[in-house]
Amino acid sequence: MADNNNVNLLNEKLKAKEAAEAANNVSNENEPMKLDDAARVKVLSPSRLVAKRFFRNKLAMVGLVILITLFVFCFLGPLFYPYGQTQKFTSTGYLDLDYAVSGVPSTYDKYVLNEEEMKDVKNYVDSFIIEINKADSSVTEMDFKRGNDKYRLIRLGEDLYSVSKTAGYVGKIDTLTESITEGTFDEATAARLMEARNNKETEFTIGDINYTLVYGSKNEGTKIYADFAPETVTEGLLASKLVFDEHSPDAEISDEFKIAALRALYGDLKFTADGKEYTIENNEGEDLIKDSAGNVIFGISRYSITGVDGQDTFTIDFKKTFVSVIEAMEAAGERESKFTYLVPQIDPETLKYVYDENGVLQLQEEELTVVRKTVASEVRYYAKYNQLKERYSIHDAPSSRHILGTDGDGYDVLSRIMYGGRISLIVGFVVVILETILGVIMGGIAGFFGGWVDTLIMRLVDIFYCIPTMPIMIIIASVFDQMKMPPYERLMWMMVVLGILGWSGIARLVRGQILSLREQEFMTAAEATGLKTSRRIFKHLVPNVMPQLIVSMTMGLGGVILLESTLSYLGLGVKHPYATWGNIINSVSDINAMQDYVYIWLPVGILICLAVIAFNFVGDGLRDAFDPKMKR
Amino acid sequence: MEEQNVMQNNNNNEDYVLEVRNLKKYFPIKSSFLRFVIGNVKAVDGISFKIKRGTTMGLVGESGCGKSTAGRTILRLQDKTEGEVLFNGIDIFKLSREELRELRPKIQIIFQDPYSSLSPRMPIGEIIGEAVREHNIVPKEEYDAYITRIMKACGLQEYHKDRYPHEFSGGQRQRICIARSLALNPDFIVCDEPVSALDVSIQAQIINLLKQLQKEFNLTYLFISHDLSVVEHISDTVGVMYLGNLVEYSDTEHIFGNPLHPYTKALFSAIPVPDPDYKMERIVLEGSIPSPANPPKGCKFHTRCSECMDICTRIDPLYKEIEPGHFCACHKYNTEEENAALHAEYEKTLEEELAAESRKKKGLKGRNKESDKAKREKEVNEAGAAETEKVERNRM
Repeated sequence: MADNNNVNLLNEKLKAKEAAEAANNVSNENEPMKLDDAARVKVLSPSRLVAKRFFRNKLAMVGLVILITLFVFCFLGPLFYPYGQTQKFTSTGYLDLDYAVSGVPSTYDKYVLNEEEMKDVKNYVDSFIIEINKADSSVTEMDFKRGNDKYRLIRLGEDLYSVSKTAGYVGKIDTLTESITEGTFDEATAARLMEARNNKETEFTIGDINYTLVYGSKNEGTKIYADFAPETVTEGLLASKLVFDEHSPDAEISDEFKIAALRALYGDLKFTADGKEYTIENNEGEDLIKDSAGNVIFGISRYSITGVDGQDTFTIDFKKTFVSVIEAMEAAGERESKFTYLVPQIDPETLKYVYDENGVLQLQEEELTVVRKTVASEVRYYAKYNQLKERYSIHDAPSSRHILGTDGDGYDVLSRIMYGGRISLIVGFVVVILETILGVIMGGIAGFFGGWVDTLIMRLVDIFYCIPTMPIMIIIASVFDQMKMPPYERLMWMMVVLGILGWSGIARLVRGQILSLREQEFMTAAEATGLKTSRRIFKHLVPNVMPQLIVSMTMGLGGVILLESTLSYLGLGVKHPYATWGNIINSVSDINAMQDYVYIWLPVGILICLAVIAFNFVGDGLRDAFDPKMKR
Repeated sequence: MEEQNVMQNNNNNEDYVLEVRNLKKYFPIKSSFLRFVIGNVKAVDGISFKIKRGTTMGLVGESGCGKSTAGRTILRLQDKTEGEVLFNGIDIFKLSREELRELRPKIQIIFQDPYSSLSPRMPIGEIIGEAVREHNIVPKEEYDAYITRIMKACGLQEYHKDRYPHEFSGGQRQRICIARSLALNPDFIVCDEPVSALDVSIQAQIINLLKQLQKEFNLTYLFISHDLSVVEHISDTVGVMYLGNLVEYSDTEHIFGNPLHPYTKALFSAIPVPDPDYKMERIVLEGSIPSPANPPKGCKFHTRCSECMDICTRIDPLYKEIEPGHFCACHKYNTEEENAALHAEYEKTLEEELAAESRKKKGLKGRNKESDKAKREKEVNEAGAAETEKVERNRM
């Protein structure tokens, strides 16, 4: 209360003085202003002075214009651009697509006659056949040994082989009873066997038959292996690569039929299956199976022919033509050949096969290209022609529809650049703002309070300063991948992580500034006038740190955009299908794509450069404008 | 209760705005590695004085004697080491942070450097008015007019309000500083060398402004300066400081007319007289001011005193009233009884020292009053005398 009185006193005194002066100097009011009157001088506030200096800086203005253009392009552009960033484009066009594929099967079809004898050897037949084919073509028989068993491979025809077992296990001599417990032998043989066993012989011959003894443990006894008598040897298995083509759609085929047909093919060309008689005729290089009525039911050929999309059925005529072309190519050793044939018509609008009113497929003549390819050690022949198909617009060159073309996923490049720019710029701003908030708080605390708080925070800053960003980001990105984070959430966390990794520089800057400002007398004066600590910090310290802060923020923006692009380019940042400038470039990361699809990466590359350069120009301009020594 | 006490004190000490009792401020010297305190810089080593309401006390002394530290410690801008500062009877070192903040407007300070004492990013109106608003000095609706009046009272124009410090000259800035202090309606202002950064003509303006404001608003100043003529002009009482101690205190007339302490005499003899024919009788001090971290024993001035006696080297002089209202700390003015007592003490100290010394280095003749150390010091002082004279001349 006493204070209030005092104050009023002071105020009253001042008022009185004012009144007195006014009374004395009435004329003063009407006096014209002097030339050197300070009131005439128009004086700018520091911030307006800075603005004036900034706008006079040409380079900074160039940067500012670039930035504004970029922002308008990225944030307003998509509103006026018809395409979205994840919109896939398709177009109809002629594609050189495979129509039919033909190949010689790589493995042999095996028709097992004696399962018991063949069970151990079934999987080795192919290698046996390779062995025999390596040998002279006059060799038709070859023996193979697997363990103590023996097999004989017989070439029945050009593409038909039989396998039979010729030797194997026949009996056993028991160790305890010292007698033959399994198998039947005549007396002389039995005596010879026992003798051989007692003499520990392993091989001996009785007559034409070779015997082999295998000595096992007490329980196992001694096993006897012997050649089978020739009259007991039977065919165990037939192997062939020949393919049966159905000539009539309702024909059924069984293994018995195939075996009989194959035998007949290299025999008397007649066979009986399921009680019906069939004959095989060779017609222009193709073997045809006819039934008793003379109708062709099957053809036998070396090539299997299928449609590429699995649905096409080919006429036997097409198959024949195709096979003849292949054979011609094989004979000539060519890798590519052409032939003309009728293929189904495709309606250019619906992209479907054309049928007439009777439901008959309309055909048209096309030139087919046959190409020889080796797929998984299997030789295949692909017949292809230019088909009218709907397809994704992948890597379309720039056109009126897609100004910058399309990328490898059929997305419009220009629209992705716009949307990507949004993310890149937002990331830049958010990260820099995060960094700055963290940096100002930490640096401010360290600088203002000093002492052990300062030491603690500054050591923390040192630690953050020496953490390498890239490895940390790689680890964190892999953690995000593991967590299967949705792309936008991932983006947010990435910004947080970048902010946390980047605040140390700003903290140092702010701390340094505040340390020097704190010692200035106006801070002491502020304390002496009894201002609150918060007011002293935010009204006296912070405005004086602002210039340096703004400069470092602007300069930092370019860096963050670059970092984000790098991360996205490496696949650590924003994930497909959401676009950023980094992963647009990433879509053409291999060197061939870079040469071929310049229109994809070059515009983005230019934009990244422009953004970074513009931010640096503006930052430079701000720094110069804030510098009080620049008097312009 | 407390408030009542305060009021009572207020009434009792109506005359005195400020009373400083045995105020000490030491700055610790820390070892570079483990931050142990290995010594103290005794910037202010026990000063006591009172200031009457509406008067100005000048505080003089050469650079580094602790004037400014004393000023800042009185404002509790830094913590004391010992002693009391009573402002209107309230010990400001016993106030809580918030209480102190509320008291702040009553005690203001004007700094030496008008360039660094104004926040560069704040318009003048805001600088002056900020704390006015914070402390609700005037009602909101009068705030603007009030700031204008204050500015006018300090010789500033209304249109200066929206300008920034960098657009003002040194003198104008100092006016702004004064306006900032004045606006808070203080009882007491510490003027910490407010004119030493200004050129002479501006100095006069500012001094006159201060005097005028004092007259109009009944302000009390503690005027810290090393400029003796300025102090003589503005002060009602003057305290002379040497190495953290107040060596003499009296009315301006008394002290300038009849300085008692040898240091004061030397100091005042350096005041230039604007008369070319006047032959100055300068008392030239030998040596330079000793380090406040390791001040001499006894009277701190004895190393440079022309009238040094034996007792001065060992025993602190008493700070006492020699004439009414004239305080001085010098052995020259001891009474007989005091002399006897102090001499006894001196003998005792000497014996103790001798005993300690003989214990240290046995067999060495320590009876010689002038120890080796003292001899060395004297040599150094003599060597530095000429230089000191130059410095003194420049400074005064």
